[in-house]
Amino acid sequence: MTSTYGLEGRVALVTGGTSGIGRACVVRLREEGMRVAFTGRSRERGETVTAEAGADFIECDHRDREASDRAVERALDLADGRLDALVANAGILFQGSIEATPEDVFRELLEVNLTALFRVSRRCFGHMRDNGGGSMIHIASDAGIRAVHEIAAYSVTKAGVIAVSELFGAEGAPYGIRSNAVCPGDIVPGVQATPAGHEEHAEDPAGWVLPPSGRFGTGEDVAGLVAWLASDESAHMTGATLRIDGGTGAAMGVLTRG
Amino acid sequence: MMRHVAAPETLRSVVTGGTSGIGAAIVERLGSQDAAVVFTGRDSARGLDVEKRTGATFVQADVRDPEDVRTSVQAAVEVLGGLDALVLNAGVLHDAPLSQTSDEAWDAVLETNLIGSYLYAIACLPLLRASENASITAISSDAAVWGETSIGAYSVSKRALNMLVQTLAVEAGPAGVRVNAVCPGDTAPGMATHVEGRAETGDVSGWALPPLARVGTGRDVAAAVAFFASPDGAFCNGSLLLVDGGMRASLRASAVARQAGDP
Repeated sequence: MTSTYGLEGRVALVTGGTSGIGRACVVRLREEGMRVAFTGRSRERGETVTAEAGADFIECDHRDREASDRAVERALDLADGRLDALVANAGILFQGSIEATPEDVFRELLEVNLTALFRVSRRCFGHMRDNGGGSMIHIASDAGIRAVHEIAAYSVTKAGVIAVSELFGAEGAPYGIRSNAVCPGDIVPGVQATPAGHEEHAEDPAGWVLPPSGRFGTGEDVAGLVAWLASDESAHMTGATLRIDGGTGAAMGVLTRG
Repeated sequence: MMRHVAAPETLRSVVTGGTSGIGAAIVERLGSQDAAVVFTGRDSARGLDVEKRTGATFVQADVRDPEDVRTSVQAAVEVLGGLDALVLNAGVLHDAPLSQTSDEAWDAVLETNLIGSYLYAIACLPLLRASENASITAISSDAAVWGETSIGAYSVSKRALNMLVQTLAVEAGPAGVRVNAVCPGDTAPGMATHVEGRAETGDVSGWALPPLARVGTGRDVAAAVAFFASPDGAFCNGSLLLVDGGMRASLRASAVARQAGDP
């Protein structure tokens, strides 16, 4: 298959690539002809994606800072030091208000969604700066733009993700490093990982409100935008925050029941 | 520590990080009206100094320590007999773009500016629900609204803090607790505390000025806090108020005024 955006032969790292949006990004970037390494906690799911997409799986829990560092070094080694695109996607979700979010859970969401994303980006930033540039794509959320109080701590961390992405965009522009934040609305299947000791997030989109477009987003919807942001087609775009939500963020009050 | 229970008509207030800069100005402002104020801080020498100057009550506490948070809230309730206004002011700054920010600096900034605010908010919400005029006001930053490359981690922490304010506004609103943020621009004396412990010189020459052609003062910020905490702010909830002289009003706002210290 030929690449839509001229990405053949380029190299990408996707964090949290074993399910949901991350998995869809791995598959799409492979279809575009990129060499892709991806991280994830589940070896079983990782090997499934590897078999499906032909990407390199690196087992890693980004809660563990040393493991997270090792995973990035491993990805760089696998491609002989080449890295054109980072898709920082790994994230966990907890359902509850701020008051219902225990301190350890609040800290864990912050560590995985924001601090790990910052640390992986910081390492890739240095590498890209020394190698003529690259594209960093941060998977945030529409909950990072406007509060979603049912997933309050998640909302807080994703607001931070958008700021990280903007700031790396501003800082990296002179070095040819682009950094953009992608903010998906409700995606099926969406975030599946949860804090330690908590049940996998039970998703029931039946009770969700549909976006004005009349359907929920898919991982493939997001992966298309990610592929474009990884490519030279978006060469002048950096520090941008992009909603991909079927119109929800634009449509106060225009909502239909799913 | 003075031990007295506040009269019922007074605004029973807790200000975190009240020993210097904007925090001390807030303590002073609230203390100058009908408020009984307890303020926290790490430095007891500075705390006792502000206590002497304002008549407010100092409780030594570090917002990064969950135990300190709990005990200081308890101590405040003993003094105040309840709580109407929580002012989340404690914060630290670190001068570095994100790529040059160490783990230690990143952690220190997030622990203080974000986790510390979360800890005080959840410790105080049960008390605030019992109040007839309850509010939380966070001192955020214009860097939350529009980040500054040179203070990367700080900008991230304040963006997240603004979102914490908005999520809390939604979940506490039904109980009558209003949650808002004041987003100051460059203020002198401002953030006295840097991660490395460096104190600010107070020298504002070289700062880019907003359209109002001056740096902000602690009083400017304290006035906005007093508004949010008062019945005048009764319908403000989830509001993010810039107090920045117009600096974030335009892409080119800083071009209209000379630098501080220019002739």
